[in-house]
Order: sequence, then C-alpha cells, then structure tokens
Amino acid sequence: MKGDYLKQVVEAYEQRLQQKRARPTTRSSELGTQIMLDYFQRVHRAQEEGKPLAWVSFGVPVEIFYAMDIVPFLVEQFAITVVVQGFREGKGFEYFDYGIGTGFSKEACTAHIVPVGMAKAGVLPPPDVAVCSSVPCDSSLMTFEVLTDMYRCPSFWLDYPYRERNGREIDYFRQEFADLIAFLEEHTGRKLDPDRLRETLEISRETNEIYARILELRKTVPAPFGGREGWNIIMNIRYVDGLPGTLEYFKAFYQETQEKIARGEGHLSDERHRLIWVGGYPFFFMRVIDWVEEQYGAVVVGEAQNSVKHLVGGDTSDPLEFLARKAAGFGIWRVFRDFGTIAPELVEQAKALKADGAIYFASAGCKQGCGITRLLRDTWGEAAGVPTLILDGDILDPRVTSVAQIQAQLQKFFAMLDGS
Amino acid sequence: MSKLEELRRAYQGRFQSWRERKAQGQRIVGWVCTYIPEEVFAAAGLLPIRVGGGARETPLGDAHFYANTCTFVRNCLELGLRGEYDFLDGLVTVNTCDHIRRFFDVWQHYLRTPLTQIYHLPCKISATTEEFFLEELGQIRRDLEGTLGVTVKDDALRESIRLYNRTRSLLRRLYARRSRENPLLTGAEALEALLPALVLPKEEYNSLLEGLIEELEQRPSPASGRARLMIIGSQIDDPEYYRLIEEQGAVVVIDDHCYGTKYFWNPVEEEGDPWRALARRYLQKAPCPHMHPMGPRLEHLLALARDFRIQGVLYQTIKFCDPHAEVFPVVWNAFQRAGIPVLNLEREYLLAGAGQWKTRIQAFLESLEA
Repeated sequence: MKGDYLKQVVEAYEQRLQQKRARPTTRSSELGTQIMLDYFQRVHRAQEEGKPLAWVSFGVPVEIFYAMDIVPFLVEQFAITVVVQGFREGKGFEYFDYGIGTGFSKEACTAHIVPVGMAKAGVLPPPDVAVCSSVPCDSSLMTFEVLTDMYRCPSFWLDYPYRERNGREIDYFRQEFADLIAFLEEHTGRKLDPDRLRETLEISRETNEIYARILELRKTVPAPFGGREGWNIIMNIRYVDGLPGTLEYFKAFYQETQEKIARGEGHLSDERHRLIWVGGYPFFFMRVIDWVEEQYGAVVVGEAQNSVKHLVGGDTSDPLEFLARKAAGFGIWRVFRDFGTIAPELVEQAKALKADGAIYFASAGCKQGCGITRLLRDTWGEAAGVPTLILDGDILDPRVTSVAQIQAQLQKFFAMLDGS
Repeated sequence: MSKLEELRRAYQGRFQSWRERKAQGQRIVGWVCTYIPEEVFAAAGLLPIRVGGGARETPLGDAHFYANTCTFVRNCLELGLRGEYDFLDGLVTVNTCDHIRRFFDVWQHYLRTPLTQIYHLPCKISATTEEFFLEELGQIRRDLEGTLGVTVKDDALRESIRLYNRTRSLLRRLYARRSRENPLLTGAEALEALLPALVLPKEEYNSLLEGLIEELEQRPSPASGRARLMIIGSQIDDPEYYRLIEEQGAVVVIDDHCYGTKYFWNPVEEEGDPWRALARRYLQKAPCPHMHPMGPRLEHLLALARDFRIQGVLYQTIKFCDPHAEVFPVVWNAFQRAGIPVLNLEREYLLAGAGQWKTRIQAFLESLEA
C-alpha cells in the first residue's frame, strides 16, 4: 500500500456505503458507515479546506474540536485501519520495521509502533497541533512525544486524575478543558463560540444517554446484538461524538435494538454462551467474533470498556462542567482507573450481563491491560463465577499468534465451557 | 571499617534492620516511586523505605503478572508475596507508569498491608496541576490520620524537610566529587553510597555519608583518565551493572534514573508553607518520562551532561519499560544535536546477559576514542 492512505480509506468507506444502499440491512448500519466516511473525508480534506488538523489520542474528547471547526484525527486508530487493510493485500509490515527503526521500542504496543513508522515514512497528514491524554496508557503518551518531536508541532497533554476525589476531580477537569481551549485558540487561530460548544455538547449528552441505554439492553437474553456492533458503538462514540449524524446513528441503533427485543429476537438463534471480551481484538482477525458465534453459539455481550458504569448526562448550560463530568464518568475511560475502584462494577456487570465466560485478549504490547490478567480472572472467577481465558496474541501483528493458534486456544476454552 | 563498607553493609542488611526497628515499635511505610514525598511520612514518625526487589527467581511474581510486566515490579511483588515485606504498615505509590499502577493493584488485592494507597501524579507542570497535587498531599495526610492514626503537624513537616534537604545537599556534595577531572569515586561506589539513603532513617544515613565524603578526600582517584559516561533510563539498584560498565575502561560520573539523581537532585524550599513547597518540589524535580512535554527533561539531561563533561551516554531500559524505551528516539535526537554519542541497551532488572553488555560497551568506548 502506498500513496494517499486517507484517500484509500475514504474510497473503501464510499464503496461500503454504496453496497449497504444497494443491499440495505438496517438503517443504523448505513448511518454508521456514513458517519465514519464523513469523519475520514473531513480529515482528508482538512488541509485543502484550510482547517487545522489536530492529532488526538484515544482519551481526548472530540466535541471541543468539532465546535471550533478543528478536525480531530485519531492517529492511533487510523494506523490500525491502514495496516489491517494492508495485511489483506499482504503488505503493511514495513511500518513495524520503520517504527522500530527510529529507535522506538520493539516491545511497544503495535498500535503505536505503526503510527511512528507511518510518520517516519511520511504517509500521515501532518498535524497542526497534537493533543494527548494520560488515559489509557504510557505508550500512548510516549508515542505522542515521539510524534510531536518528529513534526515539531505544539502539543497539549490532558491530565486525567487517577482517583475520584469527592468532586475535586471535576474542578480539575474543568480547568484542564479551559486550558485545552486556550491552547487550541492560541495555536490554531480559531476562537471558541460558547453557544456552538453548548449545541455540540447537547448532542453529545443525548448521544451518550442513548449509548448508556443501549448498554443496558445487552443484558437481555437472548442478546440483541453481538461483538461487532459492540465494538462499533465504542469506536463511533470516540471518533464522532457531538455531531448530528452520530446522534442519528445511535437513535436508529437503539430503536432497532428495542424492536428486536420486542420481537423476542436475539442476535443468535441458538445462543449458548455469553461472553465479555476484554483487551481489544486481533484486528487482523475480527472474524473471530463471527467464528465463535458460528462454532459455539457464543455472543459477545460486553467489553471491558462497557463493563464499568457510563455516567454521562446532566446539564450542558455550563459546557466546562458538562465536559468535566463527562470525562470523569465516561465508561471507556473509567475502566483505566485503579482496579480496586472499578472491580465491584466489573463484577456487577458480569452478573448483570449473565456472562458465562470472558476472553482476555492479552496483546503483547499492552502493559497496563495485561498487568491485571490474573487479577481480573480471579475476581470474575471468585465473585461472579465467570471463567476467563487469557488469550495470548497481538492486536495488530499476526506473527505473534496466528489465526490458527487463536482458534486453538478458543477451542479448548469452549470445550471447558461446554463441559461445565 | 571504611564508611563505604559501612554503607554497603547497611544496605545489604536492610531487611533485618527493618524487622529489628519494627520490633522496637517503629512503624514503616514502603514507597515505590521517587515522586512520593517521604518527608510527610517521616514527619508523622513513620520510617519511609523504598520497596525494591532482590529475588534471584520470581515464580510468585510470574504467577501474578503477565509476561510483559517489567521485571522490577515483578521482583518487588515476589518479595511481597513471599512475606518479606509483611512488616510494612503501608505501601504507597503514585501512578507513574503502567507497571507501577498494576503492581499497586495486584499488591492491594493479594496482600494485606494496612495502608495501601495510590495517589495521582499529574503528567505535566502547571498552576492547575500544582494545586491538584497539593490536594493529593492533603489526601496523604488524611489517609495517614485515618488508617494509621498518626498526625502530621506543620512544624514536624518543616523539620523533616530540613533533614531531607540535608541528605540532598550531602548527596550533591558526593556527586560533585564525581564531576572532577579525576573523580574521587566510581559510579559503582556512588550507587553503593546512595542506596542506604532509601532504606535508613535520614539522621543515621546523613552521618554515614558525611563520614564518607571526608574519607574520599583522603584517597586517590580510582577512575583517572577513563572515558566519562552518563547513564540514563530505568532504575538501577545493582552496583554490579556499574562495575560491568566500568571494568571496560569507563567511569560513570553522572546518572539520570530513580536510584540516582532523580531521587535527590532538587531541594525543597524551606520558607513558606511546607505543603506547597513539597508539592512544588516533587512536581518540578528532575523529571521522569511521566512528565510532558519532554523539553524540560531534555534540557536537564543536557545540562547534567555538560556540567559533568561526559563523553558518551548509556541509555539503558528494563525490558518492557515503555516510558523509557519508547522515548529513546527523542533523547537520542537531543544528544545527537549536542554531539554526544548514545548507546542503547536493553536489560532485565537483575544482571543477566553480561557478555552482551560487555561487548557492546567495549565497542562503544572504542568508538569514543576514534
């Protein structure tokens, strides 16, 4: 794969959208593809349209950027998308080599080795600014140090308080977001319109409330949707929160899900196992979700990010207050707190989801995730009676654990579950 | 017995010493990161000690951690699970890195240390983060009062700050003797002299260190004419690593890791509010990769390199240490621009692969001579 990757990704999404329109399935499926197409088109056109491009890390809320007409670009996730597409064509591995060739750690998360490699190869759209958060991990922060050193662009580091402190963390977040806005105004020339931010946040508020209701629906037996949709809603709410199309997508998905439940219809006609999947997927083998459904009647009813409370809501009349409370309550980020704080919620959720098994995908480069494999396995096992398979592999590199090896580990796990 | 030998023995005998002190009624709190403000614990009448490793093998640590957890925290946990730290009244840390965060999680779950807490360390320096960190220090105070029933009075804190500053000042004096044309001690000796600071009451340590500094002035330089190196990266608490380096014909004259200058380089202001002074000092001390952006850290490293007139840098990282290993390109670029060669070395917490290290260091030193 060479050339303009953004253009290739845009074209791939355009094709996907055309296919969905030609053979419609659900409205939300088409809307989900549309919002992602729009996202990549914005990034692709940013320079041409004279809009500042902000490289943002996984833990940075995007609403401020959309409200200021700055284009947020989740560079880590883009690298994953490109390389996985490349693997299908037998290419993409060169970015691992380029990344390591800069002196970047070969034991780093591959989702970070690859963007460093792509940056070194000059195939990423250059940033005007970079914003990185202290969630979820060291690797994300250090990667942004390397990237900002390469591109010599202004950077802002969004600090997430590690513990809840009786509301002091809200005040802290407020100031952090005020500082972020000041940074963006200074370095992009864009001025924040508070009314526009309120509008964006109002959409975000409604979207997140629907998102939380969707997560509740997963507790239904049979599960109304599976792992692919579960992963999609996590990603969609990260990339494009605060936009009208995103709200429309979530409304459609929620309605469809409610209707399925009303019909007594499950994602699987023969649901035999309900799984929580932790730690990301082998993105080169997303088909693993379909495979466990087909082979074992196993539906993914939750992910780690959706296994803690998603506490987003309230009043948007004070935008900084809303943003602060959202950052403090956003499930996808809360899960990266200290284990003692989130463990009761993880247990409660495992029971509420009626999970009978968990898969912990232990990606070789993920230190903060893998650090609690034993802890989570013991906690779920003892407190919720849920056995956990620790599945060795890598989210991006199929050379670490092959598809066959992944399937072999899963086969043994399901043999145990089926026998129990 | 020389003061250096006394210091070596003090460190080697630390576990026995701790148990004896505990038996005499001294309460002890273990800490894992140099961003923990020891002065607060000392002011409460507690003995703060650095939790470290030392087990030759780590079967219990291996059973509780995944393969990609760093061998330092793995080793610390090993000793904890073996009961070697069962005398602790507390185990405290901050969220400096993913390995320490998860070490804390596992320790808290499987071990029953009375006070187990992790505090928030901001990832940058600003007026906002200083205020928040100041509040975290207040949380430490409340946790000590609530769990261990000890109080921290401002006067005791000021006294503690003065005592710890004395340690820092003495260690700066020790290091000044390494900055000389003919260093008065090797890097291995300097590490051996520093290690007891992390495990002894400061009054006892300061007395030993004062004696050592006097003794050093009486002896010839053990490291004249050798290539002067700086060592940066993951923590090193084993002087054998330094000996291995120095046996190849170099001398390590300065370091930047948390069993070195990161521990003591910056004093605490002794005027004004002691809590704010602590918050400011600990947040702004010789920075670790946890702090962003890296510009101030790079300036600090280059200043050390200049002041100690180093010829080369050994950048060493414990395997899986993302904070140090991943930012190597940034540090390397900075030293390249300054015209200082850098050798990148990977290691485990305990000395292993000595042959490989020797070969690479020899080649590096030859390149410095060329």
